[in-house]
Amino acid sequence: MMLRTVSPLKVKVALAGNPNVGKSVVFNNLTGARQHVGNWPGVTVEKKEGLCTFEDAKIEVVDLPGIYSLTANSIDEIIARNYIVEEAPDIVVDIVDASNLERNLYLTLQLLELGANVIILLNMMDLAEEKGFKIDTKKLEKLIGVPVVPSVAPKRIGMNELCQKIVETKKKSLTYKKIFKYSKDLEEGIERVRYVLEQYEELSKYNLRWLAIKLLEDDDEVKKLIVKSISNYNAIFSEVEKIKSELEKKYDDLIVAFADERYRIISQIVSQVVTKVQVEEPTLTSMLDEVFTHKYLGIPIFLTLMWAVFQFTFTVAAPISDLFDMIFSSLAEIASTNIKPTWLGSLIGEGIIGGLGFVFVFAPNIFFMFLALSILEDSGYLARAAFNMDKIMYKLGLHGKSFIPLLLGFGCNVPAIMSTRTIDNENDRLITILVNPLMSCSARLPVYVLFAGIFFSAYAGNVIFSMYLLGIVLAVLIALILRKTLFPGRPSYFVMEMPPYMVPTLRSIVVHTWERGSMFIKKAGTIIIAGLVAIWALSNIPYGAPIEESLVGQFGKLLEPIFAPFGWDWRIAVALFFGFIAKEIVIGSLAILYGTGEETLYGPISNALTPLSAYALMAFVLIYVPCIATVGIIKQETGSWKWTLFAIAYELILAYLVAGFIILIGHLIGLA
Amino acid sequence: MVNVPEKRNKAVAIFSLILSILYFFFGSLEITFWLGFDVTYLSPVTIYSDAFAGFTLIVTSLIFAAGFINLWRNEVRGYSYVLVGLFVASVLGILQFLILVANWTERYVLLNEDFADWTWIDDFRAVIPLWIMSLPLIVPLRSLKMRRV
Repeated sequence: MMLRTVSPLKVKVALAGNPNVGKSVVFNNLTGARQHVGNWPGVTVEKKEGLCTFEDAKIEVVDLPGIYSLTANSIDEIIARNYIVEEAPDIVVDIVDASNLERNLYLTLQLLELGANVIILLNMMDLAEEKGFKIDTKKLEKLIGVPVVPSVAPKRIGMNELCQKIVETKKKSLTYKKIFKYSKDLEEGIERVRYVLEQYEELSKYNLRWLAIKLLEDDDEVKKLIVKSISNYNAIFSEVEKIKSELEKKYDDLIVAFADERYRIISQIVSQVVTKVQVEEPTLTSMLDEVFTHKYLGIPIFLTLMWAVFQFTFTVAAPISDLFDMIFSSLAEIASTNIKPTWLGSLIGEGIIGGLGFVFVFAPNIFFMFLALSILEDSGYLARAAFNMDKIMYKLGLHGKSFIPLLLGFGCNVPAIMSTRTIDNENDRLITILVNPLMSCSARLPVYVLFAGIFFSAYAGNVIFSMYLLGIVLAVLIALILRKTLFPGRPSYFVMEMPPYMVPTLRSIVVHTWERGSMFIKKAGTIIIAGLVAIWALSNIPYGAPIEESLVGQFGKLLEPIFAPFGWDWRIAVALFFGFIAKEIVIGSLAILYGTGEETLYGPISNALTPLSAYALMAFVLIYVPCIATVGIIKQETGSWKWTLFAIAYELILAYLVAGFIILIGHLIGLA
Repeated sequence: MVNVPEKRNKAVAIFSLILSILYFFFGSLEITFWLGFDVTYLSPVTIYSDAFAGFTLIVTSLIFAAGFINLWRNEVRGYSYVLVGLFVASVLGILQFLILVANWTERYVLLNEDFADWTWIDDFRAVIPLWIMSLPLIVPLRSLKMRRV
């Protein structure tokens, strides 16, 4: 990419494409570090924007959600097409998987139908070649009527040519808009509806042929658009109904008829541009799938890899965490002893640096976990893991699609709960939302790392792994109970696409790891620091009094009897209470309540707890009320206070019961 | 799948069987030790009382065993198991090597008191030599000329 500072030409480009076609890699290649992640207006679906400077042009790139078509069946499809219709980008780059041309061109046809100015980026050319496909790109360009740029995005092949084509298109004001003709009857129907729409000036800014097709397909979103734009919309609808009923005499279902016609056109194009060369070698994907999706070995291999992830997270990251700890401890000590007045030194040293240090020392663990998960995700393995789990999930009353939101819960429950939108059935979706907080998010990891390090040092990785397993087991059990009681019925069936295995690129792993890990850093710098300062203040009122007599001490004493059966003192009660804001605060507040520094925290905690009560505490932290952000997202996604309060209540009760059960069993088998 | 000489299939099958037995042996030792029986004297390398680690060794053993069974029957899909077996063996071997490096850093760079008695022998667990032993499997796998998709 050539970078210059002055750029008079501005081009607005949207990236569209099916899921798993390498859209994110193309976006990262084009924009590099100049990205901005936000939300699409009115919804919480992630919107990525970035800037790319090529020659004398500034290219604004918007990454649209991955979609298979432009119907109004999902929020992602609505977002993508609304953006193209309302924002009218100069160019829509349609990223097409060359190794799966027939399916990918369906979206291309719909983009052209919508009136978008399309350039095709024919990605994964290397995979197509390996599959034995030979694609005549020149002929494809001619038949489909838009420029086609062959590419291998992970190797950055085709990126310059794409930018060149974008700039050339803008400079010469070129438009690539080919109309594909449907069967004679459908075309007549489209023309008649179009004639009706032409009578209304208000609709002139839209592509009328597209509106006509969508009305014939009974598209709810387009109907809403008509209702919004035209006062006399009933006249249009009654005309359209008349035309539809005439067409339905020939075609049972117009949606199917249009889809069939599109596939007929695609099949004609593909038959002319793709030749298949016979190859005898086995494929890496088929060989790996033979074992990774094996009936009996698939799940044990998944557990083995997840165990390796958590060993990597805890043990390999440990020296970096220890280094951070040394740095923060020294800084806290310097601040406490040198800053005057004493209370300010205490606030900065013990409250801010000490508390924050106890959160930041876990950043390496969190980054290492996301690094490992990014490698598994980018290699294509996680899709196989979902496939393996589907059968079990179905038997346990969960939908196969629930696996991905549950797995995402290991990172953060907020995006994980948002991702349940891909589940169509409302009951399946509600169950997945309600059990998602039981998946152990990265915020809980610092708590496990600390307690496992103190009480189970040689087997800390295993103890942490057992927490994740406990979360999974509880999520499954609760899902089963919910399915049998509140949401009776069977989950719907699951269809998913398996992407080919890939060696993940260093760049995409780094970007993914940073995107996820930096959320922790941002949180630590804002909500966590605010929470810790509040706890410090409460623990210093009245100033100079012993901490037991401070406000927070008195409050803790009120809570203490609730947790007394588990052997947890008032400090732990306070830490758990403030952990409701964000689970990371649990450790920071313990650091404040016990005093900063490894020696002063490790000592009191190992005196205050036994390995058994520490394990019960870890389980409690895993299960009890999700953080405030998760509560917010549950409310938003369920649209109901009833389900939000239900989630909080059942998790509190469950946490208490499980912690009690652990203590009880421990006593019975003599572990106390 | 391509035709691979039967002789080679048998040779790879026997090598997979040896690896399968070794992984099973060390996996069983870790689990037996975890169950409370001190069997460390049976092992030339460090054995931990670690049920999860034992489980991962048994899983690797089963993958190689499946490779053996298929290749012994001259079924070329046995190479799929050999490939994944090598992959899992590499993940476990590299992971243990990284743990060794991390603990070495704690001992000699950060001078962490908790690691004062640490020696590299403590972290030289069976997965490292077994991983190195499995590396020759790369040779027959490379000769398969696999396509990616």
